[in-house]
Amino acid sequence: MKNKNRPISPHLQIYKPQLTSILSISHRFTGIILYLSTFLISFWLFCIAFNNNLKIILDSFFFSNFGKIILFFITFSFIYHFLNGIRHLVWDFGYGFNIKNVYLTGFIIIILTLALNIYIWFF
Amino acid sequence: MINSLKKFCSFGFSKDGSSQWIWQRISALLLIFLFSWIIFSLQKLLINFTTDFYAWIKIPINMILFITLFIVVMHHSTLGILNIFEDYIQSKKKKKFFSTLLKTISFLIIFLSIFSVWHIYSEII
Repeated sequence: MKNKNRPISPHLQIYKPQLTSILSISHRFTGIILYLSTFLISFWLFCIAFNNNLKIILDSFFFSNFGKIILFFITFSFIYHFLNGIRHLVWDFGYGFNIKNVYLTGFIIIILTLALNIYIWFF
Repeated sequence: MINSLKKFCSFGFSKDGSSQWIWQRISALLLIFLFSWIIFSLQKLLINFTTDFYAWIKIPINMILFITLFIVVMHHSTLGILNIFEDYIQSKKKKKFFSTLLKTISFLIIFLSIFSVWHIYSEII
């Protein structure tokens, strides 16, 4: 019964969605978004260093609505990944592992992420 | 002892999972401090960002910490995505191909960023 192509963990398609699993997969997903956004930062650095025309085009893009939506998702991902990363580090030191605390900190992370993101963009 | 030192010195890129795990945490801890620093120092520049950024990056300590931040970010995210590849790509050949591709892209991004920052830093206004 050897099947070389069997899926390795975690099986997202059959796993029942719960707050804990959603937060865990979001941590990875936001990590990927943040990795891709480093391309943007690198390109922006290149533009401001070498090419002023490209910089103007890039600036006008990020002042447009579409650009703002992209920036919104990047700040959202950053805040979420940052806060949830701290939660993971606290777990790694052996604290907050019981079910009640896992859910409680999960809720706190969601509320803090939303609050901070709204504060950054609207105040 | 020598073996665990070797694993540690691989910066998480050895085939051993524990060194990857440890380096992911070390870089995460470093990033908490570096990001706290950069958020507090860059928020002062928000009114006229690009012009003020030129002046800000020309201060040597800012330039060094900014480059350090960029390297640690790329290290942390490359290790993270390698971990995702480990979990979701079954074929060993594909895994090796994508891992090499990822490391190459990350290296190029680091190189491009340091090159750009150094260019701004050494430019005479």
